[in-house]
Amino acid sequence: MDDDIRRQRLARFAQIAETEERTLPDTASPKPHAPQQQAQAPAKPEKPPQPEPQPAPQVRIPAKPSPSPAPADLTPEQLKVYESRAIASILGVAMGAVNNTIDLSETAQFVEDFDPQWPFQLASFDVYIFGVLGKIIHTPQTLFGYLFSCWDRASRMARAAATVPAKLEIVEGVREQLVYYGAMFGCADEGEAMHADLGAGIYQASFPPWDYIERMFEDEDNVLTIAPAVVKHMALQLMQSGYKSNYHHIFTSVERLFSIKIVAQLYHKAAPIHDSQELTPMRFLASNPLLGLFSFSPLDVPFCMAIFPSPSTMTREQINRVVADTQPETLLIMNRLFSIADKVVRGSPESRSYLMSLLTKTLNRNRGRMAMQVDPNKVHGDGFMLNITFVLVKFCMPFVDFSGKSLSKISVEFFRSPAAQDLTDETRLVADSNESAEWSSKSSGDPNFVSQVFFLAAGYLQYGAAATIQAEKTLKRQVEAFTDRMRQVEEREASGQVPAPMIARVKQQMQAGLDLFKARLAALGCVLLSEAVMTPIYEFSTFVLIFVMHAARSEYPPLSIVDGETGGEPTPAYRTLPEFLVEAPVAVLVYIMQNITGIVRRDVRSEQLEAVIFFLLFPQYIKNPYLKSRLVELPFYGCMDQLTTMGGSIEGFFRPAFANHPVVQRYLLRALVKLYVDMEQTGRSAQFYEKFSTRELISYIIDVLWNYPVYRLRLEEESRDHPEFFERFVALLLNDSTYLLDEALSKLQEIRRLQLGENVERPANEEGGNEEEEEEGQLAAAERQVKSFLHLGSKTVDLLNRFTSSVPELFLKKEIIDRLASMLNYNLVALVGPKCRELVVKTPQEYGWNPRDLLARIAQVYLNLRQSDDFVRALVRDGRSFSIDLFQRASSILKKRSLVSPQAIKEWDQLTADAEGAQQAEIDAEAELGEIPDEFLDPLMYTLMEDPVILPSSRVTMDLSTIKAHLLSDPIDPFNRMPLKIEEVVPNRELYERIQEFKRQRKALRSHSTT
Amino acid sequence: MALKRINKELQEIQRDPPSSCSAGPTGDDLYHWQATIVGPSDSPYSQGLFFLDIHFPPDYPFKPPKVAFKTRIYHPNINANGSICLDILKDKWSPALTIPKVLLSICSLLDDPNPDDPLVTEIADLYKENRAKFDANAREWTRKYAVN
Repeated sequence: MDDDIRRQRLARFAQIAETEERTLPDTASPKPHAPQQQAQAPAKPEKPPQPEPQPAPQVRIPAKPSPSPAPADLTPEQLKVYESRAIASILGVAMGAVNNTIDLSETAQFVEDFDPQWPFQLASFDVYIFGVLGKIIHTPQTLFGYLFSCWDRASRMARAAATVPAKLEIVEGVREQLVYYGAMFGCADEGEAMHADLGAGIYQASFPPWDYIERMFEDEDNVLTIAPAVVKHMALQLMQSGYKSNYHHIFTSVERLFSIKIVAQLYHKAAPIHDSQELTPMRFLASNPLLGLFSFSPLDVPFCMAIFPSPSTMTREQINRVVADTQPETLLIMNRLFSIADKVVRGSPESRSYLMSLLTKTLNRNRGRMAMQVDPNKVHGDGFMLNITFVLVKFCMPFVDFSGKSLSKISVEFFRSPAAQDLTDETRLVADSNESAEWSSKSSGDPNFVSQVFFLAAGYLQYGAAATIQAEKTLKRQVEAFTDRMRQVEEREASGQVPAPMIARVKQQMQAGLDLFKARLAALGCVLLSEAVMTPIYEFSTFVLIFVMHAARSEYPPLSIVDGETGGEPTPAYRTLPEFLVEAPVAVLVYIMQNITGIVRRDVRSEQLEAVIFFLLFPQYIKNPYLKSRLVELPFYGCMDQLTTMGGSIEGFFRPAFANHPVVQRYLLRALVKLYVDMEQTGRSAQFYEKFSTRELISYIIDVLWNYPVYRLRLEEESRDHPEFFERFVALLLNDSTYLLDEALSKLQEIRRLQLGENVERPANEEGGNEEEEEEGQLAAAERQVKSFLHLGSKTVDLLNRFTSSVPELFLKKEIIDRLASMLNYNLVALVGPKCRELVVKTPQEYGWNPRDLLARIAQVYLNLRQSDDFVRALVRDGRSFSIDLFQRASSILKKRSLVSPQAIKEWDQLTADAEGAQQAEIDAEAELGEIPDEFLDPLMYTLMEDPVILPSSRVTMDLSTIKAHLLSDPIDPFNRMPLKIEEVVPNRELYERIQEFKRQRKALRSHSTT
Repeated sequence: MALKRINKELQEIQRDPPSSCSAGPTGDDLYHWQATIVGPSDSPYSQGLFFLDIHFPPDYPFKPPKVAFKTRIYHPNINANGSICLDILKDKWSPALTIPKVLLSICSLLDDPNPDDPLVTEIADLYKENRAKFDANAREWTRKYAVN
């Protein structure tokens, strides 16, 4: 349409409207739509009155041609009459006629005033329509409500006139005029103040005449102006009224709009992206209305408060019922959104890139969602992000294929493309920031759609799905914190110290806060716990892990690993991939395994286990140790048996894979052991905590694996093939057991002292009350710690038990066995020695403290190794805790309490006898050596060196077994902290010879003196 | 395992005791020592006599000894339980270190606290923001808990 004419006409319309005494709504209001409609609502009937698809009885249709005369019969005069009647009847302005709500009786007069050329003629159509519209604006009827009804009548007339071309031509002429004027008022720009645009018309019409609307869009210019206005109206309606809007109708209408091919084709041109940094998240959506549609979700606060009005009084069952009722509705909306996006994508290549770009920009704005403290004013909400995640994942479904065939379509170099999302400050799988900056400085060509939608969906998996899972945890903590505070307030209330009205006010405020948190938490279930929503996300997550493995090794399946292979160096493209490609799928999969077991049960994916094995076995593919420790949660949750609601239990998801999958059987154990070792030095601030919590998961998984003999055999094979690797593991296992048990036992002693009020060593405090409080705090802290130390300690002793029983030879090396023996004796003396009473505390069961059980477990470790002479000698050599008496006491307790089998008691007694023999031999050997010159002594242990070696950088000579033992837990030269490997030490042959000579001499001397 | 090593350390500390520190077994248990540190003269701890508890874990000297203050002390790196935040007692331990060296390190920690790696943040903050007040508190505690 020619803009000038259009403007002229609109100006004229405005003028007409001016002349009437109008009472228009306030045009200064920045958001004119919904509030006004809300405000007007009482004046209006519940539903917009117009238009009824059925013939409106109020409107007389004088032109209805009675027994249709033959075309030839129509004279020009007759046609003129028909034209006049057609116009009058379509416009509903026959003389004196009354449209159902508008009194148009004056219109004819009005028309005559303007155009004395009565009867109505098509040539003067603008006069009539402006005349009518000038009236309409004073009524609740909307402009398009009226135009739609005109169209409706025109359509009926056209049907009636179908056989009379001359009449049909006239009706068609009127229809063209309607299209023309419809398009003129269709865009919101000018009509906004009158909420008279096409969007409002469509929103208010129960059955908008889409053929009419499609006719308007036959003109490309109309698409550019009207289509975005319609979407905007719909989106604003949705954003402002949320669940109170007629949202189904909105989604249906927008979907229908985009099914008009040209709308989808040109939408990118019609609604250019607005992405200025100043836009708040809300304004960003309002400026890009297509996105605004995605904000509709039960996670939206008014919506969730409406479905969970008083979550604190609702039972779990009630909440679950609401969740179950809301899930299908939510899915329906999400599918609608997908359908809309799909139509845009199919519209044209430009519309497709437009949508991708819009979603990419949205993602870039939401990277704060993974921050420790999420600022809700700076990022979009969970519901919005989950909607987009779901839609993008659905786009990926056609190529999510576990056979790996589609993997080659995804470009590993995607992030070089300017179309890719922002990865600034994003941690990469391997590369540091310099390397990534350099790599991405070279840009690649345009990515294909598969790559684009895949990486975008993966980004949303992180900032949409995983961030929401994180938000759920935060919400749970908030609910707990609020509940706690509420309890405190109630205690104060009971104490009666605070005025009741004040308490009541505080309680009311807190209850409101608590209700909000609880409602949001419950609403999350409508999406996060929905099987239908989460199933594609589950599949996609698995697929992302497969992709990353494939990106690393360019082969599929990637775990056709040849033994001994180290996996090769990652390519630069791989190194710079963002870490969330592993982090997000793992977080999502772990969540699903914990919460929506049905999904996993239907589709257990051993690929997940393969990914775990892959990344743990080839550490060069993931730099971040924390990420590796997250990975192990997959087999952990996958191996745990689950309790059913019926009180039974179902075995863990991965049990069948453990039992049958060849790759899992071959590599899982080694991968877990490797992680155990790798967690020793992570260099992270949370290292200490992460180390033990990860190792705990590993020991649980190994517990389960031990049900299958194949893993024990595997361990024996592996420890033969990779002795150094397992030796390091064994050393760490030993470190852990020593440390954890020592901590646990000393905490128990502390608890006992505190419980008995015996903490006498601390000097008296002048303020007595203070000290009591302090001791209470100490006791609470010690109780917390002892619980976790005991738990971790006993898990570690279990591992020690399994490994000493399957592969005892791993423990018999000199650098290991002395430490193992010392540790065992140390704990044995604590458990059965003279001071064992110091471990007796009140309520031991509260800390999981069961000394007899621990004794039995430790005794078993002794028995596992009892047949080794080296072990027996090491027991005796330990100068700290060993005594024959100790072993005898242990025997009597084991027997008395039946802690082990009678056979085991026999074995124990045999071990005691062996130790006694060894002890005598040891004493003799010591005596034989007598005083040893300092230079023959190991500088750390002060024992005679067997195998003196020189440390290359500090030049210190020490015994090989001592430096080996040290390097197993700390790979540095103890004298100067320089990095050191065991291969680098140099034997000190000269000293070795002298020591041998010294021993020979002493032996000779001794035998001489005894004879 | 470490019997000879610990005996050796004990001999040395008795033969050549470090200035301002002492250490030795509390009773018949060779693996449980008590140590004393005299507050450094130019510090707010001067004239204080601080008792410490030393426990040798079974894997000593591959792992650090456990050292804790028994006397209360106002210090950014030492908490109410007497735990000490000192790198050589944690990940910077080396088996070449000995008890005298550890005690000397603790002495220098008293002389020169490390408020950037605090165990008690309030004390560390005060140390950084109001040194005079910190000194006064530390002196007060020393007088209260560590003199006689």
